[in-house]
Amino acid sequence: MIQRFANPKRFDAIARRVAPVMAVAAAACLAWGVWLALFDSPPDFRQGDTVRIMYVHVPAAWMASAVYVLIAVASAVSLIFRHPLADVAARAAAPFGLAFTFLALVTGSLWGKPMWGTWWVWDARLTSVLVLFFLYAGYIAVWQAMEDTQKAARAAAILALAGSVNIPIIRFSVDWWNSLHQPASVFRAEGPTIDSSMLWPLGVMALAYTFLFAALWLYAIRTEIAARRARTLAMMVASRDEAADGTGEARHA
Amino acid sequence: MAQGRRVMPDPGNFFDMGGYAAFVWPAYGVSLVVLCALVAGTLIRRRRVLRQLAALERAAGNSPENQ
Repeated sequence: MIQRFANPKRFDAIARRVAPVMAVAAAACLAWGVWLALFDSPPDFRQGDTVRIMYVHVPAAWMASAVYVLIAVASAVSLIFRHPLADVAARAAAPFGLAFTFLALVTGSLWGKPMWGTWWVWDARLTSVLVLFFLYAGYIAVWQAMEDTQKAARAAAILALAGSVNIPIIRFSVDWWNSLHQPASVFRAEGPTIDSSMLWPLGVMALAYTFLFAALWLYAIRTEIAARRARTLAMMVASRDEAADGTGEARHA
Repeated sequence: MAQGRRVMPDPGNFFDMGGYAAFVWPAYGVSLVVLCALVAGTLIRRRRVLRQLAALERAAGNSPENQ
């Protein structure tokens, strides 16, 4: 038992120091990024001021996929090495992934309406991101539906790994199929196609989202470790009380 | 792509967002609300779990075998 909680305890000590640093970095980048996005960047020559939606849409969409990759990797580690921190980390990340995916869909819709003339279209990019949203929701539901932590961890990990085929589909959907959605314009082999006056606010906002997620994730992992400790203690106290007042037999009968 | 840097737009144009205010501001608004909800949710859950854990530790500490 001590061996089992040794790693999470050490993690707790490290996370306690790192999380506030991440939070401060997130706040600083967010302030700087919003300044650049709203005040210190030009409107696009074709899209006008709607291009400013990019600075909240693209970081959310990147995080939506990145968080899923983290969950998938942690799930693989959990299944293969049975490391107790892995499924705690995966579970703690899921609500953030769900929220980022929601933001990507909503801000994308708000950008699509003025630029494409429609809130939504069932094309490959939009549909695969909607699938990602439901994968997150399903993953969270599996954790909540199953009482036994070990079994829930296993089922959730298998779901996360099966769903990871969706990630390359999201990434390459704009190349493989005709789409209203524009192709990648930042992470390209030939370099970004965006002007640096727009790349800066985008980069700073992406950093802000990353730091914010990192800080919240660390807090959430520590909370999850504490929650599991509480669960173990609750079971200990319950079984002890049963043994002490002699009602154990009656309750089990 | 850029039209040249616009450092400080005058307030009228700024809130108008070149006629796209109805799309740009909701996008920033929903982002702000969701990010704030994530921060609040994380802190509230942490506080609740730590309170539960402290109560259980007290209960476990008062166990008959410890007395």
